[in-house]
Amino acid sequence: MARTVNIVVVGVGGQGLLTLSRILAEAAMARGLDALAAETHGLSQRGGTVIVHVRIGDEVHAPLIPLGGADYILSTELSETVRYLSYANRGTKVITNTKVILPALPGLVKPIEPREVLEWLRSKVGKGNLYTIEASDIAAGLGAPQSTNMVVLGAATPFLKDVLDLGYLEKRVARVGRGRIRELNLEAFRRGISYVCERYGVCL
Amino acid sequence: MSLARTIGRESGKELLLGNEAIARGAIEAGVAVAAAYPGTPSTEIVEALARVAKDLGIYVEWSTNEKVAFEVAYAAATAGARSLTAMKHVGLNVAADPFFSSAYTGVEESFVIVSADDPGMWSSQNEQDNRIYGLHAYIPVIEAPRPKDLKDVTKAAFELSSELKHPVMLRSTTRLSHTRVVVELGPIRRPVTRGRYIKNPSKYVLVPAHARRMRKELVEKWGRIERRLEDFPFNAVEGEGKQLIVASGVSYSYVREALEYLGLWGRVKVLKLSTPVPLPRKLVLRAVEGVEKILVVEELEPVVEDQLKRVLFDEGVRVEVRGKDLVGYLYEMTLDRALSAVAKFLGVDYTSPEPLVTEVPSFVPSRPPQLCPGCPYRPLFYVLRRIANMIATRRGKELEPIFTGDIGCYTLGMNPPFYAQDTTICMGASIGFANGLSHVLGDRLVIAVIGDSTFFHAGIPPLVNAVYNGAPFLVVVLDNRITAMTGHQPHPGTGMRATGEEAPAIRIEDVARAVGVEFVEVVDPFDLKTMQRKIMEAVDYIAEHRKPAVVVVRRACALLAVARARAAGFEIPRYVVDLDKCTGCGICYTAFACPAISQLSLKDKRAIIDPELCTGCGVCAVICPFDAIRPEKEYDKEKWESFWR
Repeated sequence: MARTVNIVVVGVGGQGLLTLSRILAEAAMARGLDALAAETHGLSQRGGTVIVHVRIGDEVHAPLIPLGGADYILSTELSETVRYLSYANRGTKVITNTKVILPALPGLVKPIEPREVLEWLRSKVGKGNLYTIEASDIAAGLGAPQSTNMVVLGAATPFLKDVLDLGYLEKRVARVGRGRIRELNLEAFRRGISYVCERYGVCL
Repeated sequence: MSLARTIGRESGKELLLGNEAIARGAIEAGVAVAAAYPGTPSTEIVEALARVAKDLGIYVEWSTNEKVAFEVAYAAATAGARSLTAMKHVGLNVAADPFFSSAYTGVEESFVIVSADDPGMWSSQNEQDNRIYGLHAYIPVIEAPRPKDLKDVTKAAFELSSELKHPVMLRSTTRLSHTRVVVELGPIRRPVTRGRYIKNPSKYVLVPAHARRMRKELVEKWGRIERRLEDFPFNAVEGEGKQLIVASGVSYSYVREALEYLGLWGRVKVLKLSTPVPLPRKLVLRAVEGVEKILVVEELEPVVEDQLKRVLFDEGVRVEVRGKDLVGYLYEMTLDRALSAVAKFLGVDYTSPEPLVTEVPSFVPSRPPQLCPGCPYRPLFYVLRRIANMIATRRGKELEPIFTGDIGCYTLGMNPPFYAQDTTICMGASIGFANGLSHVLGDRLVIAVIGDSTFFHAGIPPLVNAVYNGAPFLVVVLDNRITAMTGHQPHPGTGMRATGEEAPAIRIEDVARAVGVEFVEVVDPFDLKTMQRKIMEAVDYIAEHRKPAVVVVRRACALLAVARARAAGFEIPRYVVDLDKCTGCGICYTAFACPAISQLSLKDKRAIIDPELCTGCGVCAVICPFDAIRPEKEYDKEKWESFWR
């Protein structure tokens, strides 16, 4: 490959975005590629907004993706997808969870309806570039609400199959968490893969 | 952490966090002693070293503050042990005293000071360019041009320090420290852990007579250091042309990508500079040969630009030098910023990918960081806000208590609905500020709010000051048993050391009593009634006796409790709202403001608890006036409670 693949990973602190991004970068390395993942730490993790810049290529120098420079936006929370849409350009594929998590700022935050946010996104992101997934519902259905990140990772995998070592990826996901959580994470990951294949025809 | 997976390996690749790459570089260089106080973005360097310390047989500690950490590592280096200390940029302000002295005395073996600066202030109170400290103190500064160079640059910093017998600052920034990067592992130098102290008081006793001599030697040594850096392996002149771009530190990676983007890589001369302080004169002169104009690209202050202009002026080289006028001072470097400066400098046009949108629509809620669900600080702030409202109502708004805050998760108490931080200045300033305010505000109550780790770091001297000088105010110490903000490092009150072994747990209440505070109480924040009563008793005590009082609020960080429970295979209880009982009063999601609770829908104000976020603390069930919140199912309360100690 010649061109660097730029992936902007966004969501809310506590949703496991660092784990998701790190696994992406590791799976790219396992494929023999260079990878960088610029994380958000500290204050931002306390339920704040989180953005991780993941860059994969033959040789990647700089940590940050410029505005309009993302090839993919992966999101675990719908309003965060909107917040970081300035990283997208007309060709960017946006893969997003449909759940909205409202910050607890009484009096300052008006509740928003996911449906309205989705409509707005559809009006901005070109047809064929927006891939929504009910990742939180899928994870909750498995009895593992905290595996939402793995559903989103699974959903992104078919898109990124050319830059990731898929065998490594599956083994790595199976090492996230302990005990029963491990199995659930792997299942959540697989559900993400099959979801985008069945609904959007993007398959491994 | 991935660093542990690299131990015993001397080849191959591993994906490491930038800070782990620095740690690995230190290991490959044979580091024997590492000491630090946690601070974003520096924390993971010594945290990673602590986790492998036993395997390597090296000494690693969390120190009480940066000054102590600095002295621990500095001393070890004077006894022949290769050492490292790491801190965030403002940590060096705390350690500035020994920092300056260390340049005078020098050391016997490698002493590397990692300063992790935070351009963009992602997790800091200011933006500070610590390369200037190097200039001021005569300590050379080394930077990595790209994240992937961090490991080897660290190794080179150790070798340089050993050779010069002089402290060396390795300056990192948030984006270097917190970027995961593919690292090629290299051979490990066996650490020499047993030091040898050779007495040399004329060198290490900085009395004026010695210092005057050493000051002269230092200025001479600085010239030698500058010459030595000319062929530092990470400096290079790349490409050719009549235009030169000098790129310092991580800015190099952006300049390189900008030139590649413009299709000009190789056709413009680039000085890749990893030794910004002192600027190597001959290297610069070599780079500017035949050059008609120069652009300096660096984050924050014009450290390289100013030195460069001086060199050129002294040498009679008259070329145009651009820098801060095109690059700007504020925040971190980005590709957009580098691209715009480089294009303007070269006079070329470019089109960058057009962002789909340029503004965030107003329906997207602002999402400042907040106290986690289950955080023991939330019930405290809930009670403090109630007390403040009560006092304001009874005695008048002009006597509403003032909250002097400090650095830690609890800084978030400034947010609505608590509004319980009126000042946050620097580590320890909550108590320092309370001292000053209480002397000029009459009987308006001042409440200092400080965390456990911060108390040990810089809270004790101002508390002693309050007792000594009779300052009447309340100190609330939030003891969540750990340094939480930076990711759970143990501190002197935790009962555990950096490397995991047990340690004496120094009790905050004992310290307060020992320095002469007469009113000292310890309360549990989940027992809201008792906590409120004890704080009110303290308020009355201060009013009556005009002396300081201390209330220690003790309960483990929720993230810690949940992690302990998970490790023990204990299922985290979840709480649910009984919608038949809920009246939609909203106390749980407005006045208490737990992020896991929200209103059911736009129209239905009744509460709902998000199972993805609930940590099972159960405090919402205590504060609910209608008894409408209960655990989803029964659980072992005693066992669950044991994880919160």
